[in-house]
Amino acid sequence: MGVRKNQRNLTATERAAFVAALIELKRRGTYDNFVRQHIDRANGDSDNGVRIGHRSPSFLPWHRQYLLEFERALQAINPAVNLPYWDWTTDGASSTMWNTDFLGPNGVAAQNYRVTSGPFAEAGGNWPLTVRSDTATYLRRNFTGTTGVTTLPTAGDVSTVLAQGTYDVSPWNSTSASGFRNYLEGFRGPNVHNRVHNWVSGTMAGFGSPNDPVFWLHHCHVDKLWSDWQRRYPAATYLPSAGTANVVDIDEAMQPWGGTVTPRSMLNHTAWYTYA
Amino acid sequence: MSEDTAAGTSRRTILQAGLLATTGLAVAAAGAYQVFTGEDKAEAAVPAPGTFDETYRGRRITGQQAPAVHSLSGGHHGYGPVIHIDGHELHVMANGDGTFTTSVNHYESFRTPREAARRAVDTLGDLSPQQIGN
Ligand SMILES: [Cu+2]
Ligand SMILES: [Cu+2]
Repeated sequence: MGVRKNQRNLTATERAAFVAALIELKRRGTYDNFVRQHIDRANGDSDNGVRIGHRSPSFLPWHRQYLLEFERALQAINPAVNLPYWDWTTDGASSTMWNTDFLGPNGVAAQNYRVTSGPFAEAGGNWPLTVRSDTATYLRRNFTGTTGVTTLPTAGDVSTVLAQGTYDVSPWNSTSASGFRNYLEGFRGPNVHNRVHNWVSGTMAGFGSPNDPVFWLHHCHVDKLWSDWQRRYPAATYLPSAGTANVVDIDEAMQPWGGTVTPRSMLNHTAWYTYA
Repeated sequence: MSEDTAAGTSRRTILQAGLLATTGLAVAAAGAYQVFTGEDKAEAAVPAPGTFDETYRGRRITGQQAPAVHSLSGGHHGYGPVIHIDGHELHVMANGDGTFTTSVNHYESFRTPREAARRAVDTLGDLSPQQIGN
C-alpha cells in the first residue's frame, strides 16, 4: 500500500523518480492511452444523456479508479512511486512544483503559452502531445487563463465544499444546486475542481487536460478531499442508490471498466493507498 | 442505468464525431444545416440561438443549428449547436441549464455558442480544435 503525499513534501529523489516514471510511461505509449480514455469519456458525458466521468455523481469514483490505474502503471515502472497531490489552497504560481526539476513552469505568452523549460518542454523531446483535442503538439500553460479566473480555491472554499453533508442531489448533473459532488466539481458553489483547470489553462482547459502532468496532482487532491469528506460524514454515502436514468447508481458498473468496478467498490481506498 | 446503455452511447458519440470530422463541411454545403449570415438575422428567422458568422481576433467563427443526429450536443432529439473555427469543428454541447460547453474549455459554461466560440479562440491562439485525438 502506498502513501500519497503533498507534492511540497517530496524529497528531491522522489521528485526525480516521479518525473522519470512519467517520461518512461509516455515513451511506452501507455500515457497516451490514458489521455485517450479521458477524451472518450469527456465526449460521452452530457447533462441530458449518459454521464459517467464528469457532471455526474460518479465524477469522484470514476476519477478515483482512473488515477489508481495510472498510479499502478507508474508503479510498474518504479514501485517506489506514488501519486503526489497539489494543494492549491497553499501552493500557487510561485510554488516549487513549477520548478524545472519537477513539472516545469508557466508557458511563454510570446510562444502561445508554450512551456519552454523543464522535463515536459517541447524542446526536450520527452513530451510530444499526440492524443489531443486541439492542434498543439506541445504542452501549454497560461496561469489565470483567458477566463477571468485569477485566484485558486482557498481554504475557505474547501470548508464550504466539505460542509455539504449530502453526497449529491437530483438531477445528478451540472445543475445540481447543492451537494458535495457538484460543489467540489465546481458547477455550483465556490467552484473548486473546474476553477483549477481554468487557472492553469492552456492544455489543462480542454478535453486533453491529462496531457499536462499537473492533471494527476490536481485530481489527486480532489480525491483526497473526497476521502476527507468520507471520514467527516461516516454515515453518508454515495448517491443515487438505484433506478436513476443515465447515471451510475451505487451498485452499477462504471464504464469503461465495467464488471465489478462500481461506485461502491471505490469507496474504501485504504487497501490501495492512504493520504499523508 | 445499464452497462449496455453507457457503452452504446459512447460508441455512438465517437462514431458521430468521426463522421462530423470528415463530412461536416460537405453536409453543410449540401443544405442539411441551416446556415444564417448573422446572429441578428438568425434571431429574426428562428427562435433558436447559436447562429452566427463573424471574424473574431482574425479567426472566422460560425455557428449553426444542426439536427441532433449530426450534432455532439448529447441531446437525443431536436437541434443542437455546431461551431466551426476557420472550418474546423469545435465540439460543443448544450448543458442542462441552457449554457454551452466546448472541448477547448471543457470546465467552463457559456451563455451562448458564440461566447463559447470566442473563448475557444482566446484559449487556442493560432491553434485549431481537433476531434478525438486524431
Ligand atoms: Cu476528468
Ligand atoms: Cu478535472
